[in-house]
Amino acid sequence: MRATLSRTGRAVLTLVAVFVLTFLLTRLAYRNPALTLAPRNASPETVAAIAAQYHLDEPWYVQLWYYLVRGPEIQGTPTGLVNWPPSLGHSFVQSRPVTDLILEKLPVTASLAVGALVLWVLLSLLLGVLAARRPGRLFDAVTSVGSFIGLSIPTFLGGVLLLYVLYFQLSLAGIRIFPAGGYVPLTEDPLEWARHLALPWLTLLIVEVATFQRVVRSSMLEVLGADYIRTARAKGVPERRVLFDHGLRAALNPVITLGGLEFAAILGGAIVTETIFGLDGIGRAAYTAAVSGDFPVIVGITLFSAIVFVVVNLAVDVITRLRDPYGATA
Amino acid sequence: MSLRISVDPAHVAESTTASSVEGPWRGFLRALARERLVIAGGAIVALVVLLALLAPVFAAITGHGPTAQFRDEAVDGFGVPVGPSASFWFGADGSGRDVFIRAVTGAQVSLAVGVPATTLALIVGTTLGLIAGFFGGRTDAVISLIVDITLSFPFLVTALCLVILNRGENGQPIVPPVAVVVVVIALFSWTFFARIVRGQVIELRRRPFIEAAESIGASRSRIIFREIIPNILPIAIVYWGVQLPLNIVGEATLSFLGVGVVAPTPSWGNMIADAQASALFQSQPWMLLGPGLFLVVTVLGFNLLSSGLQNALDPARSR
Repeated sequence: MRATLSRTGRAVLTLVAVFVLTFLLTRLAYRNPALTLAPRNASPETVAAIAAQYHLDEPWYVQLWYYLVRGPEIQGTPTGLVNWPPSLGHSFVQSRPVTDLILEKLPVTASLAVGALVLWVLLSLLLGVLAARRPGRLFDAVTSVGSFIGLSIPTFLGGVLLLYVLYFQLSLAGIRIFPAGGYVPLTEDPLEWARHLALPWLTLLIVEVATFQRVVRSSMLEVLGADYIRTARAKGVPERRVLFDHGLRAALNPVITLGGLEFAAILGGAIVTETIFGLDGIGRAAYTAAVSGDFPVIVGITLFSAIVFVVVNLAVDVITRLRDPYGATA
Repeated sequence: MSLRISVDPAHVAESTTASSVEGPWRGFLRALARERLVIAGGAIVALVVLLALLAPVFAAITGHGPTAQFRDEAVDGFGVPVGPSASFWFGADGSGRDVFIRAVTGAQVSLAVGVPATTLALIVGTTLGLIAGFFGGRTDAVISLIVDITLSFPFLVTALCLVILNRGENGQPIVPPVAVVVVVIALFSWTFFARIVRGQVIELRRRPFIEAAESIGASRSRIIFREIIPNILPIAIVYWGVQLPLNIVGEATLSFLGVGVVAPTPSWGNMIADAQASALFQSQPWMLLGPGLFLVVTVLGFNLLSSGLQNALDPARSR
């Protein structure tokens, strides 16, 4: 309990630091944001008016105060981070709260992340356990070579290649299974939702399965050497139960830890995958904001992904502790 | 975000320490010679390095510079580039540039970014990890917090901000864009070394030979420089090899998104982005396959090599 509390304290400290650093970084990076936001060929007066409207002409600490407490004077209601409900700032370009923007994009990114997580964990568990069953034999060798190759294909290249083979070449052959991109909400049409996300999931699957299959395998090998596994086998427990009930249960910890990290990273914005497949998610929004100089959105999304990262890590910690309260296999 | 500048716990979970009985290096080198992965990976890496070094030679043979455009001979009337031929080995791209020459030049660029970035990360990470592990207590807490903060930052968005920060008054970069890429990648990979080295140092400090050195009154600096550093250096170098391919992918990804190595300098990432954006690779697939193949083979070579090095470092790993 105390450990969890001190971890929570550290997590909060981390978030504060991420917020302050991103805030300063964006203020440093965009030297004249009002000019970026103004229409092209705007008069200096217009630029000055825009700067005044968003308080961009004030010193950074005043801007920080506006970000935290007031928000821009657009709708009359305060939209700062410290108000309730907390708001992650107000987009200059889109004139709307960043929180709304994130909530609008979240279903897309969450579909991508959750779907990929489920698929890659199931597939890696299966492949990892089968490889660990007879280490050094044919299946192990094949998956080992496969995971070396999978690990060596960068996500962006994998995505482009999948598009080329599974969309372009198949379409040429008259088979149209996969769309080139886009997103259909789950609530609208679950089948179309899965069809549109199939290629993005597959893209993420290449590298994730390559990583996790190795993790599951080496963790399983460690567990399978334990005395209680030998005891279970000696008692005549069927091999499938030895592997999946006794072995896998104990071998899951590294999968949970690493899985949390990867899941948080994707949920915080899978910029590459979203870009290639035209998914209008959080990563895409962050990229657009960074290019157009809309820095409340950059700060907001950075903070959002940091929160996701910290929360997922805390969750992983709690799960690991619940599964193994005495730290026996830690 | 699917770019992986993160820790592989399968490797980190096992804390590996080189045997200090016969000296940290000798046992390691002996194990090294037995590893087939090292030989296979080493051969691939050597081939890539050789191709990169020979880039000017290939350019002289074909008479195509990496940024020279041959719109007349390499692009037809519809703007479609030619495929592989005796003169254009991997065909040409949409501007009539030689894809093979650009891909081997891209190898130079890739290594010129990946190697210094990883080395910088190694130096910073090892130093901070050593300090955290050796002094412990509050120092350790502060450094661990910095690691946490760094890990919580999204890689690509921060990279974008830093690239924009580098834009001077009239849009000209203040420092060369390649330097920014090196710093961004180092910034996001030093934590890997810091975590590993910290763990190693904490374990080493409990070892009898360090206790013995302490009890005979050896100074802290002597213990650090004569006892601890020689013991963690092989491990740090092996993890340099683990991190390098990740950083090569990092550079390619940044360049793919247009925030890394900028045109006209060829990089595998911006070549693939080019191929995808123009959709010309659908009629001239080598625009995509050329740089793609180089990238995958290079990363594969370093992955095999570093995996073999890890096995040599910790024989228990390669069951």
